[in-house]
Amino acid sequence: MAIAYEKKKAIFAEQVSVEEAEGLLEWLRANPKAKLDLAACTHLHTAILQVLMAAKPHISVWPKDAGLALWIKGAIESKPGV
Amino acid sequence: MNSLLEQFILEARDALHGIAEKLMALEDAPGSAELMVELFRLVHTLKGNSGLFEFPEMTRVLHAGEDLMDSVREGRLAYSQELADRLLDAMDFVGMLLDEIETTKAIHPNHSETSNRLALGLHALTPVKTDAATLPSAELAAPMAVTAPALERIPEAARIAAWRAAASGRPLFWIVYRPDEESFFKGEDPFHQARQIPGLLWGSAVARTVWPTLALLDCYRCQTDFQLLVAGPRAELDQLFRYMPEQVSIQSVDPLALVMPAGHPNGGPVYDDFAAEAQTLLAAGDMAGLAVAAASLLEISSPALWLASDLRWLLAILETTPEKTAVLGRLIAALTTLTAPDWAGISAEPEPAPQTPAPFTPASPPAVEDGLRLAALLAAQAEILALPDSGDWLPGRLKSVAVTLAACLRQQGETAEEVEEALAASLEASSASPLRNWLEAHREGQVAPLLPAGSIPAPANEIAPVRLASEIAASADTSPDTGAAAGEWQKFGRRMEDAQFGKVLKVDQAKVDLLMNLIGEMVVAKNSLPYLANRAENQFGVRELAREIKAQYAVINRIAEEMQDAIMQVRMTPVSFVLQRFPRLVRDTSRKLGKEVDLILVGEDTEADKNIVEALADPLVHIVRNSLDHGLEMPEERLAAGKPRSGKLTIRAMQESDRVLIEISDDGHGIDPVIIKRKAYEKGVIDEATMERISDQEAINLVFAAGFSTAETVSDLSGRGVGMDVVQSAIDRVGGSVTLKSVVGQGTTLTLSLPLSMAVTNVMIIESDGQIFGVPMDMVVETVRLPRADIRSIKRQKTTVLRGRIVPLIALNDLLAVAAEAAVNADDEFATLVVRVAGEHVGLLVDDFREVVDVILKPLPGELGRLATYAGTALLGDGSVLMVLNPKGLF
Repeated sequence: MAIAYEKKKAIFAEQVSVEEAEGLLEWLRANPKAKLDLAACTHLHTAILQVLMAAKPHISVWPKDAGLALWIKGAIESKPGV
Repeated sequence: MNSLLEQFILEARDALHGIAEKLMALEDAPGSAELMVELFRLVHTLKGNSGLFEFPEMTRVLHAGEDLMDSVREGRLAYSQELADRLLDAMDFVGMLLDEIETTKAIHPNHSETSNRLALGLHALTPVKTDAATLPSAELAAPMAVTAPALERIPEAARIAAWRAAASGRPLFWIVYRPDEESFFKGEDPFHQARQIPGLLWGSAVARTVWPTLALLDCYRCQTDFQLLVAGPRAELDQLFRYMPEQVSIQSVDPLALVMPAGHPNGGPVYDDFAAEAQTLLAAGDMAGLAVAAASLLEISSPALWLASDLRWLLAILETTPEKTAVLGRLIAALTTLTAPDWAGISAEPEPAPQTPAPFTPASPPAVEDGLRLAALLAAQAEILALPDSGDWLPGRLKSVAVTLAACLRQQGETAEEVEEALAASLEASSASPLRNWLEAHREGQVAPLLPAGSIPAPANEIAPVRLASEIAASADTSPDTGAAAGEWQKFGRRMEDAQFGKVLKVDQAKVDLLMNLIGEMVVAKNSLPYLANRAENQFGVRELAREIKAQYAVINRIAEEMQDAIMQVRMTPVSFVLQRFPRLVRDTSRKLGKEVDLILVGEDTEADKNIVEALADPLVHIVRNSLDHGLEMPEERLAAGKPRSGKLTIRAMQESDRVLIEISDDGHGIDPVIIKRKAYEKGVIDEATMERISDQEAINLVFAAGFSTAETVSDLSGRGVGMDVVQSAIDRVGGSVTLKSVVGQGTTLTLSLPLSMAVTNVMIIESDGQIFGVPMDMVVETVRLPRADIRSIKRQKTTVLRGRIVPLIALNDLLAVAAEAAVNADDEFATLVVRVAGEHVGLLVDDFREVVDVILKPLPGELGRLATYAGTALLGDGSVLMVLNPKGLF
């Protein structure tokens, strides 16, 4: 599993592929206040990014990969349709 | 270049030719449904073939063409002139790509844009059939202006980095990448794609619409766009997005548009002071001083302030492009107003040269070079003008000189009016002197301006980077029908004249067959010469003439044989023609069966007659499927048997004298003769006595019996009982043979032996009861004279022992129901022809042997064709007909 789900926290692995999207979405729906730990993550699939953009979860640890962190921050803050 | 690609290029050229032809025909008969269908078929085939290779540019255009033709074919769109024009243009483009593939084996990514444009042009004609996919592409095709708000979102650091990149000569591009909604299902990861872009400076993922609530979110539908700022060559971007050009829009960005100071608008008088001081420093050209001043002010300012941002820009520009004084000036001026500087008019117009003599820069070599070149050019013009004023060419010569001079002047920033005046005078006087005089005066008087000392760089050089970017923007905005694009259009519109004709000649097979028949007749006709020589000698007693005829015969014989060889070569096709389909077939089939198979092809370039190679195709497919289905085991079984996990299937082609051998071997579990015997008995192929008697090899050969199948269940691959017997009869038909060897647990090897060519058959003539018959040489093992004493009878069967093996003997007369005994020669010996039938040797007792001849074997016509005893007939040199026996049919 590329995402390890704990009680109130999901920990992302290095690469998170498209298959995880649905699971993550369900989990975030069930645990809206959960935290995400992206520290190890270096890339995640567009589908995962979309889930993050739509759900805007609380990200407790940003990726160590500064480039990815910027991307994700930018994506979550961006306004639709611009 | 591999043969598949070669074949594709050949076929594609044919198809293009066909398409052009059909389109022409349609002009005369626009309503012809038949032509339309044919046209669609051609475009469709071409598109399908192009898809085998990595030529997305080509496939895209063809795909659009196919869609268009599809709607025409279905009557949703009427044929029109415009449609034909666009389609022809598109096909010319494809032709050009083909030329390029042939020479460079690849398509330059530059063509991506043209391809896109053509595809859109074709799509524009295609009526939309609730096709959502075409909508966004049309929408994206319209150039989107890079609006300031979009650029504003880029953080300042990224914008400054972009400016630096642009200053170092890398063009900037703004990319909007709108992935297909279904792209996740195609295995794409747009986010990954976006991050992979070389020279990416900044990027952002933006939702297309407001996100629905999580419960309604379909996370597998791509709803995200990417906006990216990239510095790098355009070609690289085109290359990266070559498979999805309709999903991206790439625009060039004027670096100045990025210079947007932003921040908290908090100012003070101190900044006004700075601005005034900075302007003075700028005017004095003291860039170092300006930089120091700006840096120190920046240090004491809060970085969040608008003016801090402005200062950062000022410093960045000072560092990279200090010659842009106008830009610097406006940035400084903006400090007092705290509003974004207005760049209008800056990027396009040349900047004023620095007023103070710039620190003496070394003479720029290009400028000097330009000057020298110009001087040489002028000298050449003077020489031309010095030629005698005669002939009809004078006006043309004068005009061309004038054009050259005018161009030189314009290059120097002067007007060409004087030249035109001098030209008019020259033309009127029909003499070169006015123009010559002007040129001399110009060269003497104005050498200095024409030859710049080199201290002042040409103004054009200075603004080059900015100009470049804006020019790209201009050309990118050009609509398909105008301007620069039109020039490119012409480039491949001219193809009809310079079309390349390959060195390969495509000839209708019937013509080659005719040649083949004619050479056959020739061979037979030439064979009559020895008869003639014999008659001359024996009947007419002119030995001299007989010798001459024989000498002539030798010459004609040699030429005829060479000719025959040459024609055979024309028909020769490498077996790779049928083998190349197997890698795919084996891969697909083994996947379906869950087996792992390595296919090894050996000797693909072995050649044989086209008919033979074609006849091989179906039997080979049968055999390979059989091997995959029955021969090779599942990976687990193989491991358990101590074999490597993946099975090995080898197809080996080789030439052995005048035969082609195709060997198909696998390392599967082999054929178990015991099972075969039991199955054959159950199916009634053999009776109980036979089952007890036959050897293992004979049992294995039972798989060739009609209606035999060992598979317990019928699969969609094999096991319907139409298998090996079909293979055998197909191979028999072209005069080949099949042998099967198998070792239980180790594998099976099938060997197909085929003649190289079917056209000319080598037969041995034998005599029996005063008649002559032919026997194909490939059946003949040997001829022996057998003393009567060597013949033994076992029960009622005559036999003899030849080279340590028992050979049954049968009189040909008995087989043909001729009531005569086989004749013996003076030494009481039987003429015995040993032939090979179904792997066994049999001795045929005949009366006498004659010569071996090459004949054209014609099958027996009509009902006679059902006589298995005869392979056919042939015409002999003396005009008599030879019946050629088929030994297999005799027993």
